[in-house]
Amino acid sequence: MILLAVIHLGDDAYGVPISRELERHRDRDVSVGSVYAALERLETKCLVSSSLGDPTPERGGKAKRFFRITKEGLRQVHETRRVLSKLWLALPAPKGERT
Amino acid sequence: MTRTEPPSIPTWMLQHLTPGPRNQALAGDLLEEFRGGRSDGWYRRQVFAAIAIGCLRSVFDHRIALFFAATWSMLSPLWELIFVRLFRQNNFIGHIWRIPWPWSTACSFGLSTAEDLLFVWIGALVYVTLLATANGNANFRQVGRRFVTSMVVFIVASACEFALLIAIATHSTGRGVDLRTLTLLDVIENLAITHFPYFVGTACALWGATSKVVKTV
Repeated sequence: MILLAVIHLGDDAYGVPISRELERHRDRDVSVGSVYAALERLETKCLVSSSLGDPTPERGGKAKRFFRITKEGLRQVHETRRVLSKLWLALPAPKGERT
Repeated sequence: MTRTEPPSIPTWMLQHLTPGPRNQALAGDLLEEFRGGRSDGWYRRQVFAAIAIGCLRSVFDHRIALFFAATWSMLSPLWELIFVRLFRQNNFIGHIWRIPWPWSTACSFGLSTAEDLLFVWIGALVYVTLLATANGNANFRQVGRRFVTSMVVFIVASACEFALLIAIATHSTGRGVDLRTLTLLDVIENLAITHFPYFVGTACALWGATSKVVKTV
């Protein structure tokens, strides 16, 4: 989900918009700390890369950390979608329901 | 009225208690959201969650060092035995107790602490040497700096252990120890208390031994 949010946000992918995007889709509060923990794990696996922006006064002089998906990350997302689509197709319909 | 400054205690906690290199970006994000209209409660929850996640990640990142520290601390009785034999052979304790008080007590305490710290530091050196042999990812300089910190931590942990043992002894005065009623939990509890300073001291010395590389563009 975080990888998809990073792709969706493009050049504006940093902690706040990523968390908001996740909150919007999940319909519940998201911990910004857990988003960063997940992004760090993804960065260690080279699925995303990060860069520091300029410090801004509304953030108390603290810089934003922007995340971008890497080629490997994009490949992994497509691979996951392919596998999930395959599994969904094999899902049997509930009893008494016509497909 | 919109507040521009978040609660000060959580902000201080975020700055000082969150391990990891990304604190600045996280602190900036939380501040931006707070100034965007989030409540004090939201800010506090986010800070506590960030600290908890950061601590858990830190423990996970150091899991091998912690496992080694736990294993090494189990060897402490063997180390004590070696020293007791060594001292007995040279009648060292007898010499110390012939010195006038309070120097005799100071010497005894100093010797005992030095012996324990030597055990902790040898453990740290063994770990770093093993790490360097295995993958070359060892930070000797960082461990050197940690020696002093581990000494302080070990002494504080020993004082806590001493106080706890006195409390237990006071609580169980006159009852003695009945081996027939001793449960496995009692044994584990006893082991955990007696090995606690060694574990904490060794873990503290090893904490910086593995240097984590974080890529930034």
